[in-house]
Order: sequence, then C-alpha cells, then structure tokens
Amino acid sequence: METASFALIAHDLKNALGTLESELEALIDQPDPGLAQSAYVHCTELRRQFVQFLTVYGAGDGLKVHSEDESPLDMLKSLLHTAALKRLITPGTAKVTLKDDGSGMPSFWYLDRRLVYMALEAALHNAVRFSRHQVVMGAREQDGYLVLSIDDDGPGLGAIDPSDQSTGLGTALCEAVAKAHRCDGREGRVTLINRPEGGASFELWLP
Amino acid sequence: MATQTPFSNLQALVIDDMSVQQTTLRGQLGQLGITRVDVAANAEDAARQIRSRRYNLILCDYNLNQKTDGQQLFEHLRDTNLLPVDCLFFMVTAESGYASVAAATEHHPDAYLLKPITASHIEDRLKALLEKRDVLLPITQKLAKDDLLGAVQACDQLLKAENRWMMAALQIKGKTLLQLGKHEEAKQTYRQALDKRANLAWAQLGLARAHKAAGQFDEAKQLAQDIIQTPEGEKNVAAYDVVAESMEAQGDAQGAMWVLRDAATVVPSARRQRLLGESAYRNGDLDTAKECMQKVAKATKGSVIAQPQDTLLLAQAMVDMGESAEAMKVLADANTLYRNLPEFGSVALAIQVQAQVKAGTPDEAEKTLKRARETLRKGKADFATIALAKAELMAGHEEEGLALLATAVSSDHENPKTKQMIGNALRNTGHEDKIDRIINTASAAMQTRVQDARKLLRDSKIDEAVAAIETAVRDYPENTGVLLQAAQINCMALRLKKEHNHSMVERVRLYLSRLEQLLPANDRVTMMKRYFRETLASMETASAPH
Repeated sequence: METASFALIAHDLKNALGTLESELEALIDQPDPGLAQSAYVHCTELRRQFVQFLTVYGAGDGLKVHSEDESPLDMLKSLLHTAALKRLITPGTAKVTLKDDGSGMPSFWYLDRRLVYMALEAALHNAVRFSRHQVVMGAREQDGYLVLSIDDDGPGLGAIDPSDQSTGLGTALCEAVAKAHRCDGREGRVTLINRPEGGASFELWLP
Repeated sequence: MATQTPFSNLQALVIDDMSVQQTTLRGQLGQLGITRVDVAANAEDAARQIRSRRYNLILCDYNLNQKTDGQQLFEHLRDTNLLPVDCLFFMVTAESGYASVAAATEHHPDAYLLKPITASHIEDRLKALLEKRDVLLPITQKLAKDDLLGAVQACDQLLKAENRWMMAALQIKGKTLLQLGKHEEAKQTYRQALDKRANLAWAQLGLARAHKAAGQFDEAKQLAQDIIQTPEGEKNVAAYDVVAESMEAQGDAQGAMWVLRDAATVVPSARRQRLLGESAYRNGDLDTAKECMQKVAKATKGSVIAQPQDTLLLAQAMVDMGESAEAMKVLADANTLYRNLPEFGSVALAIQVQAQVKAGTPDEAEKTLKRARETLRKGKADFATIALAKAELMAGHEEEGLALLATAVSSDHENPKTKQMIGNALRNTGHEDKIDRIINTASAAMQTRVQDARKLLRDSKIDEAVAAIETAVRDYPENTGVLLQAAQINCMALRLKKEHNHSMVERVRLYLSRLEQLLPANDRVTMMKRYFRETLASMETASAPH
C-alpha cells in the first residue's frame, strides 16, 4: 500500500474524529439527546472504518476466510434492517430495498459471513451517499458464483463525492474480501459498472 | 418490567475474567430480553455452574487469562458431556486471533463472536441458530433417543426440501450413517455434499472416515492427506488422526506416532501432546514421551483439564529413563491433588516401587510393594496392572510379575496397544526372552476359548456355544475381543432359534454398551451394532403374522 493512501485514510479518520470531538464539546455545554444520538452514530461510523482498515491492512499474512453455509437472503435482510435504522437518524437519504422481494436467490452459499457483511456494509454506505432516491440489493447465482449486487440511482461512476469522505478504503476492503474467497481454483472478484438506466452497479462475485 | 422477546426464556451464562466485559455482555443480553444471566470469572467456576444449572446459551471469552482458555473449556465440557445438546455456545474472540483459533480446533462452538460485540451481533447469530435448531429438531430428537435409522429418515425428509439447511442435513446424515456402520451410503452422502461444494473439509474428512471404516486404509490415508495438504487443512488435526488410526490398523504403530507428532507440532495443545506422549511411550520413545507429558503437566497445572493419568505416565517414563528422584518428586507433588482418587494412588505406589528399586533401596521398595498389592483389585489390560507387574519383576518377584502380565494379556487379548506395552515391560526388566511365551500363550488360550465356542455353534450346539462364550465374558468382562464374539454368538443364536429371547437380547445390549465405553467410535463395534439391529429386525419379520 502506498504511503500516500495511508496518509489519505489517516487524514479522513482525523477529520471524522474532529467532527465527533466538536459534537462532544457542544454536549458539555448543552446536553441534548438529538446531538448525543448524532455523536453516537459518528462514533459507530468511525469505529466501522477502523475495523475495515484493520481488516484490510492488519492481517500480516493476508485475510483468512472461515466459510460456512449461509443464507444470502438472511444476510441482506439484516443489512436492510440496519440501513432502515440509520435512515431514521439521517432522514432524506435514499431508501434501501430488496430486488424482487428477495426471490430467486440461492438458498445457501459458502462464505465468511462476517467479512462479506463488512464488505457489503461498506459498499452500501457508498451507494447510499451517491444515490438520489433508492438503492436496490440483490443476490443471484451466475456461472457458479454467488453474485451480490448493490445498485444505486446516483450520477454513476467517476462522480465527485457529494459528502467528500471517500478514501478508497471501502473499495480496498471489498477487493480484499472477494480475493480471499476461493474455491476449487477460482477466486472472488468485484465489478463496478454504470447501469444503462443510470446510476452505478456494484457486484461482489463469490465462488 | 422486562420486555418479552423470542429470547426471554433463555437462561444464559457469561464467562469472562474482566468485570467490565461481564457487565457489557450482560447488558447486551438484557437488550435482547435475556434477563436470566449468570456470570463466571474463570473456567473452574463456569464448569461448576454448568454442572448445577441447565443453560441455553453460553457466551465465553476465548482469553480467560487463566490456566484454561475458552477453547479448552469448551472441549472439556463437550468431552465430559456437561453441555446439553440444545445449549448454544458462543466463543468471544479478538479480531486478530480468530482465524488461528478457528483453524486449529477439532470442535467448533456454535458461533464465534468477534470483538467489539454489539447486541445486534448476538441477536443475528442467535436468531439464525435458533431457527436452525428448530428445523433440525426432528433429527436431533431421534438422535437423542438413539434412533439412528429414524434420524437418517428425518434427514432425508429435510433434504427433500432442498433448502437453506441442506448441507447441515447432509452432514448429520453422513455422520449417522457412519455410526450405523453403513459406510457405502455414508460415502455417497459425503460425495453428494462435495458435488455441491468442492473441497468441503467436513465432507472430505467424512469420506476418509468412511473408507477407514470399510477397511480401505490406503484410500483413507490418501483422502486425509489431501486435506492436510491444502492451506486451510494444514491444522485439521482430525485428518491427522484418520491417517494415524489407519496406520495403527495396518500395524504401523511407529508411523502412526510420527503422524501424531506432526499434529502436535501444528497444534501444540495439551490434548495433542497427550496423544503423542502416550503413543511415544508405547513405541519406546521415552524422551518424546517425557517431553510431551512435561508440557501437558505444565499446561494443565491446576486446571479442570488436568488428568491424573498424565502425571502417572510422566513419572513412569522418568523411572524407565533411570530418573528415579525426579519421578518421586512428580508423584509427591501430584499426591496432594489426587490423594483421594483410587485410580491414582495404587498406580503411583507401583511406580514408586520401581523408583525405589532403581534408587537402590530394596527394603523400602518391598514395603511399598505390599501396599501397592493391597490396592489393586483384579488384573486388567491397563496401565495400572502393567505398572504393578513391572514393580513385581524389578523387585525380584518374577512369578507374580509374569502372572500379572499374563492376566493383562488375557483381559484384552486382541488389544495391540496393551501388547506393545507388555512387550516393553518385559524387555525393560530383563525378560525379553519371555515376550513370546507370555503374550502368545495367553492370547492363544483366549483365542482357543473363543474358537471352541464358535465350533459348538457350527455343530448346532447352540446352548453350549452360548454357555461357553458367557463363561469367557464372566472371566474377562472387559475383553473387547471376547465381548464382540459374545455379541455375535448371541445374535446368531437368536437368529437360529428364531425366537425372541429377552434375556439374550438384553445381554447383547449390555455387551455393546460396554464395548462402546471401552472402544469409543470403533469401526468393529459399529459393525456389530449394525448386525444386532439387523438381527432384531429379522426376528420381527419372522414373528409377524402370515
């Protein structure tokens, strides 16, 4: 990893910590549940980023995967639930839904639930930031892979981050998680494309 | 008032040495509606609490900063049957250590929770696992009643649905088929799983075990080696065990020891050191035996997982190496701990006699020997009997010593491990010339008794055949070869007489359960159980009205 990228990540983490600091400072003078809630969300967010960072760069000899048979539907539902809770705190952000109400997904797949969940969380976080109204998550089986997808209706790839908080950490995490999943000589991958109908589509392919 | 949730009726135990973490976990369980939460600060407390109360959920920190870590505690609870089948065990681990913990364990807890933990993490896993438990209930209920065939049928029922739980059903089905002695069907089941997911470790291991059960040792070894050679499988100690057991079955005890040595190197746990130490001792590699047992003693000192046999084996290896003073010290140290255990006291005395002889104090040795003799009830095919026999031989009581060893052979004449140790005992005490006579004569005599009984059966003297083998069982109630024959002859008698003889059926049941204790997870015992089941089934068909 380039020193420049580390500096970028450290810079962003420092800024996020600064926001939290000022929120806490304000709370000293004026205890307010709304502000406390917001500080809490920022704190959770910051911790999530640290966990991501440690996952990608903390393991000396690469990411170790511990796969079990997991239900993609259950995993996406759990993500959906978390996203709905977040939306309560930050109204006005895009709504997250399940493609075809979750039908047509393989009933189980071998994967490391913790790692895949973390990667999807990062990708979803990204999609919600860019999206206008709606983000759609899905899972399907294609060519012997489980394809987990997150589609947004934002400006598409290459757009300037509206909230200016992209460090590339989320992308690095998704790629590391994909690569760490191997089966029978095949390896996972991440694809990012513009959708013909507008917006971007993120896909995590797991063998 | 607490909120009612799907989890409200769960009784939970939190095991953590840090009081802050205890409080946090208790609070998080409270958020999920779990209010009946007990707390233990170490493994010893936890084991005590689990013995006295039935828990549905256990959250255990891996790092207990104590003599026993979370994984050792979990394995101890499993091995001693302290964990109820429906109890969920969650291991709490640090981010960094998790992969190595998960890779190196023979038995996995229901879930690993990685720090930092939130209530929703726990909820997520709990929900999924309770759903799994409910779906698998028809199977586990049959298993709990020891209805293995019923369990296989319940698995097939679930497999028809081709749903989320397919792999779980295949895994239980394969294991149950192996217990039923149906290794060909077990192979099919494991291959079915491998078709769904290539290189699936439990399915590969199951396939290797099925080959071993079918007596295809070379194939079993190869399949297990294949697992070990993958990056994920290099710490799969169960695969090493399949290789070692196959080699042992092929008569290569030395080779098996080397495999166990490899396993103890990749996973240097007390349990692996113990297995290696025992094997090394049988194979006459005293240095390795001593080194391993010292490691075990050090690792388990003062812990619930310490075993008196570890100390005895260490002391015996030291005496064999001529380190009498060290051996005496080891025994004296352990004596405060195990004083009240009969399985420790008499053996410790026998080893003490040997040490005293070697230390050149024959009078003391003679006095100790008298006490050792008093405590040994009847000679068996075990470490204790062989230790006393060695004491007798070294103290110059040749006749008594040889008689004891002969009894040890007769007590389990087909047991290669006992014979190996008896051979060593004779060699080390200057009686190498008698190895052949003692071992072969005694086992030939047992062989003849068994064959005589079988011949009577062939000559249609059914009652006489049964009487003959029953006498042998009475004389040597823990002789596994005799018990297997007794089970078989009784089954054949049932088939030949075509009548349901209640006491005969109960006798076979008794022998099989005794065999289960003496030879856990043994392929021959599994096959005999299958034969018994088929016998019962054939009698039911025969007695059905036409």
